[in-house]
Amino acid sequence: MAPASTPPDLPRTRTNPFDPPPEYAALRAEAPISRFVWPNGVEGWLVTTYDEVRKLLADPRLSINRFNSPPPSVSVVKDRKPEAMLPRSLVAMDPPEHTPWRRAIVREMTPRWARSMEPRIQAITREYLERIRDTGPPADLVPELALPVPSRVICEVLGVPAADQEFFQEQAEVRSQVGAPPDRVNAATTALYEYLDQLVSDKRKAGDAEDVLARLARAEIAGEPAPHDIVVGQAMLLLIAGHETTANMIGLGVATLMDNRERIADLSDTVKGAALVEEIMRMHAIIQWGIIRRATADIDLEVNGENVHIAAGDWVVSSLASANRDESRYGCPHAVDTGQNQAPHLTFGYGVHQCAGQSLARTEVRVVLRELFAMFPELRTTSPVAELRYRKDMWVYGLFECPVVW
Amino acid sequence: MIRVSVDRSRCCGAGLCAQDLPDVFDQGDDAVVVLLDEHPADELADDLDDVAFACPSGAIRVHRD
Repeated sequence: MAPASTPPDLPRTRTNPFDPPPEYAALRAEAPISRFVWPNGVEGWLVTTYDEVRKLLADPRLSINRFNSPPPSVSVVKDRKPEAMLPRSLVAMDPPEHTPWRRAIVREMTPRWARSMEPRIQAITREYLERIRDTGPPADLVPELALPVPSRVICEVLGVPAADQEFFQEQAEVRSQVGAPPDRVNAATTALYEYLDQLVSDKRKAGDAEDVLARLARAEIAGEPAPHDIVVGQAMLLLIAGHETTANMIGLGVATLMDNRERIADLSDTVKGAALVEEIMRMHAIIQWGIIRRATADIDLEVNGENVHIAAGDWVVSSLASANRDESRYGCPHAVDTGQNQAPHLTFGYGVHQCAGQSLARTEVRVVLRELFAMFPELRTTSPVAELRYRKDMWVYGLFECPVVW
Repeated sequence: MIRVSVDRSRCCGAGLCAQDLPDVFDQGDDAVVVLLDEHPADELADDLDDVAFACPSGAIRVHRD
């Protein structure tokens, strides 16, 4: 298949806040792997079907390590300044370098551990809900619930001292505010980095603390002491990946349930609640423009009877949001339906880089939504959900605010 | 008869198998898969196929000997 001379833009204009842009349905039907161009003129491959996304995300010839080959400006926001550079972490490592680091981190975040965290997540959630009850109605669930709960949880998991959690939350919140100037976002990122840099040093010196960062700081990776800067990088990753994403999924979950109120009762049952959360997560692949990899070797694939040749050095974007709506995998792709054939959604990605915090995220979203509607069964947004402000120009999709009354 | 095999060198420790079929799979201290039951009951065949499909690193194989 010869690439078109002027490929289309990456589709990114939604016609409603709950569905990916309509172009994806046509791409799935006609061109599961197609050429596209970023706003800065750099071209790449866009992958839109469930099977092809899975296949390519599991392909070791696609590299996640962009450190030595910085990506084109993938930002779709014009005149955006470069983001503060973060130290290396799991999301910049390919196997075999990736493997021991991945194991050192996922062993801290297993499904069994996430289940054991449920009572603590419930207690933290209730603390914020009681504050909302005592000061409202109304309330904005984004800053008052969706952002602080995951932040508190990840602080406790990482071993951030209670006295520093407010600072930690403030910086993390700046990063996800509507219209936050890039300079402020960068300043917050740098402040978090410097804080974690010091914290990791302190934990290594103390030598006896039992939390994730302390164990990572003391870990041996492939027989060598874990390098300090990479431990700090992993800490930043855990913080950022575990905070904004979960917060946005909670907000979108509330919005989704406003139009599916009959499903709210499912939340009080662990099994039904988990199935409902999976459907909410399938509907909203919040990494809305997909995940970027770069081919390290030529890859030839047969798609719909045609050969697709991805050349070494090509950029490849896998659309999780499109894959989650693939008509060949889901009988009812665009609605919340826990009864349909359940191919596992790709919101957490696929392959060895699949989200390390997925079990914690699942538990957090389920517990927060359950506790929210248990305390406020009549909760409703102050305007129709379609009219709320969505993060349509942000890498991580979600709601900027979720004003509610009860 | 069903036989299950796991490739511990491929496993990336997501733990989805141990979550869904805890009598067949576990995770060791390093999060890597531990196979508890190489010959699960035939009734588990569909569940085993689902778990093998969901495994993000393709580390699980279900054989029908």
